[in-house]
Amino acid sequence: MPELDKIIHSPARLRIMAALVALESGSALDFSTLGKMLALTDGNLGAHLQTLEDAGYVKIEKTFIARKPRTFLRVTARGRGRFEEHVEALREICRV
Amino acid sequence: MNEEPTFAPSPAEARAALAEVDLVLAQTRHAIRQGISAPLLILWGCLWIVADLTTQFHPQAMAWLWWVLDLVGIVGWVLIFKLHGQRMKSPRGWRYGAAWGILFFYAILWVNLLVPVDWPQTNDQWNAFEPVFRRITAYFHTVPMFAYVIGGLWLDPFFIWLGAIVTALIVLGFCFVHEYFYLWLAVTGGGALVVSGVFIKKFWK
Repeated sequence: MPELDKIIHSPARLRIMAALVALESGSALDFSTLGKMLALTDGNLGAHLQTLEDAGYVKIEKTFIARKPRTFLRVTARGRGRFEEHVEALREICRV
Repeated sequence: MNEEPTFAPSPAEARAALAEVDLVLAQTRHAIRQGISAPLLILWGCLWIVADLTTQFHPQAMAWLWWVLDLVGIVGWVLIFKLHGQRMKSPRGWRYGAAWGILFFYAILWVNLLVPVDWPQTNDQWNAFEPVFRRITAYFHTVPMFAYVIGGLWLDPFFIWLGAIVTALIVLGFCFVHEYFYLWLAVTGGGALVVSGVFIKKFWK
């Protein structure tokens, strides 16, 4: 029986996870691109990402492109699995 | 920060959450494709429009304009993929860029092999060569459309429709619009690509 995930259940984190899961496995999205896509402020997005990273669902990678700092985000295998289970649990609730 | 919802969602709340997930999944996939497809379509479209309008009204200029457009195409293609790489990293993303590069190389190779080294410089020379060049041009324009149809099978039906409709317009013009074929190509082919690129950029967010 699939279980809901308390960390993913927050609306903002659910949307962040959905956006990152939509990427091909192993792909990473730039922080500001994700913020614009989801219409989240940097502070709000950063706080939620920290929670997701602490849970091991998201990996945050800081790098430099053309000498400018860039932050890339990718979902981990654990995060992808938990997200899929959470979505399945939501479907189960709808079926009740 | 958003308020944490109750951890025992009702069926209605679960449905709303699932709808939100579906929306974000679709938006993200569109946004990723938009990021690279829209500028590529606009680039292709602009190159077509310039090349076809020049061929229609001042064909002699194509002797040197080919090389300029080739260069603009290559530089534009490199820049688009470089900028895309700043927004997204993908372990297999290079294949998409390589596919377009191979296709571009294939098209350029055959156009340069099929077109004579001595480009027609007089009206008489052009009139004698034009029927052959019209066939080459029609073929050359369907190559990227063929790629859009094939790519659309994996990416999005939008590209299947785009490739199929523009190919149909090219064939239609080839069969029935002889005198103004290049103008027809500029408007229907190049125009369709630019409009599609702008449409994707504006609405696939």
